Amino acid sequence: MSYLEIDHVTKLFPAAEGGGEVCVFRDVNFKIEQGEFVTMVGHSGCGKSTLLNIIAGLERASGGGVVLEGREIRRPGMDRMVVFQNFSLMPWMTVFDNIRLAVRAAHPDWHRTNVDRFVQRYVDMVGLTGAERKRPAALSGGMRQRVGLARAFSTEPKVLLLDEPFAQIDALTRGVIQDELVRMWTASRSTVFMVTHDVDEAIVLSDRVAHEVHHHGVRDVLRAREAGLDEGEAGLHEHDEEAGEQGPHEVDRYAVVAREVGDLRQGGLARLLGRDVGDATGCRPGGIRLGRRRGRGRRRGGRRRGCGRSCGLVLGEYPPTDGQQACHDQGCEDPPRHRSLD
Amino acid sequence: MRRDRLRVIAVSALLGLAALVVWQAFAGGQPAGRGVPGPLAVAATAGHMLANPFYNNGPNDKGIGLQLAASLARLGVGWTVASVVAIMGGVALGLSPTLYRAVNPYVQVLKPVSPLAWMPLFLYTIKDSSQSAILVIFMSSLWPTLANTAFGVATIRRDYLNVAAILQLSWWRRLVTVILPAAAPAIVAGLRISIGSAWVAIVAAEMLIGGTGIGYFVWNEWNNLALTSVIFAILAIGLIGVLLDAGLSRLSRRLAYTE
Repeated sequence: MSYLEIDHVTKLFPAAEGGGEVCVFRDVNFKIEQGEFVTMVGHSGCGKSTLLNIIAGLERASGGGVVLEGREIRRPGMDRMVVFQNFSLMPWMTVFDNIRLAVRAAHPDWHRTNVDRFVQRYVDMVGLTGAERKRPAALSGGMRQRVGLARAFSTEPKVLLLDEPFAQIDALTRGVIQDELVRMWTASRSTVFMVTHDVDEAIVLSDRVAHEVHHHGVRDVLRAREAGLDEGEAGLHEHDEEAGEQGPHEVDRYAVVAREVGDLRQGGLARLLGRDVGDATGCRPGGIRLGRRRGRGRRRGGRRRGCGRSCGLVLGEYPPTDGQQACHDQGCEDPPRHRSLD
Repeated sequence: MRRDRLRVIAVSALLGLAALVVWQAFAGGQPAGRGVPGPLAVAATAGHMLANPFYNNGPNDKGIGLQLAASLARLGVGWTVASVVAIMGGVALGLSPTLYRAVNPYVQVLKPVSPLAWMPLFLYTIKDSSQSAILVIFMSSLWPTLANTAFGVATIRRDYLNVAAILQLSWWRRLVTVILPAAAPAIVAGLRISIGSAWVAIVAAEMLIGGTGIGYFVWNEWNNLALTSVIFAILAIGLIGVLLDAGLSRLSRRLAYTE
């Protein structure tokens, strides 16, 4: 049994006029393992936020259900925290009080000093030290979402639900906060489900990318990974073995883009590489390590977590130099040292 | 900014002075003992009354300070109880659209009724004039706060309630940390309207019940044909009204928030 199962979830809304019902999506069906970071990409209004709200327990599914650790989700709970697109901070509370509200809810038995120390730790973690007494209205969008992230992580939820968390943050700040999210996620190793319409963001952040909830049902949801593994078998095989040894907690972040998820490939990877990639399988730019993969693959231990298993640019016929270039373009802090893809 | 302020104050003072001059000229043209007393006569009475505002020479001769204090005490009790009831009721109505729509017709019928119309009913049922006056204040301050609270709670952004739901706050904590602060600006706006209309109603109520209070004082001075006292009382009522509103305005600024 998987950690989080979205089991044939259907959502119908009453039609605006003439009675009847409108189908938002039907039979959405996928599973998320513990510690995974899964992103769902889709157009605005395709129902991905509705699905996230159903997982959060804020909305009820019309059919099917969501199961977390073998128990069906029927209502909101502390085990699933949501980071909202519009931040949803209490505007009458200070930064500190916003986070404290969550910490107190998570630990009602804690002493006040204990709660405050814990809150301060998360304030420091997201770099808001000194702004504790400010109200959200006095903060920029990026800083507000840092509060949102701190509030969510401070309750140490089993599942973190991110609803387009970076959509209202300017592009320059976005990257920094995405890094912060990855850092906090790496430290906490909670399971993350994110929805976004930003393909690049999905690829940069996630283990797996699910593609679009469709009006007439789900196409290709989370088939990406399997397809990607088939196509990239040679390149990924070695690491799969290792993942098996390391156990479920060592699932790393990578986004595989395969034939079935056509839009993703066209919109995301092609842009990422600056060229048409055909039926390629690709990876998030943070994980590009051309030529180093094999050498480091023999090593064991913690250093290979995160980027390590994220593989190189697998398959496709583009020469490695192009891959390198793409890596530089994306601001990869650790460009590949070897020039050849062996 | 500062210059603007000075200009406003100057214009305001000039207008006030002009009004006083016209008033005095008008009053001075009338034969003594008839017509409206002028500002100088009122000022003399005011000085006399303020010199000893809290004297008590029996039921029909009390200082203006005592009369105002009696009115404010009634206002305090009636308005506070009404506000608590109205806020609780408003929260319930605001949280439940069904309840809101079910109760709304009754509120709409009762709202336009002058609070004084209840007076005979109160006098008949509780047989105590002072408590009846308090109930009139209660009726006059109930509806604005009720309507504003219901509106404020009903329009709380869904997000805040979602956060409260995810954090699984108890209903009490949800009320205290989310619902009331979120609706606070609307609630205080209702409280301000309430206290204004209650202060308006109390003068009329006290004229009816007699005994103590600024309304009774006005009526008593009218019976004495002491128009200078009546005019001074009018000014005092207005001034107290301003102070009450200013106090709530400060509260409103403290509770305001920007999203």
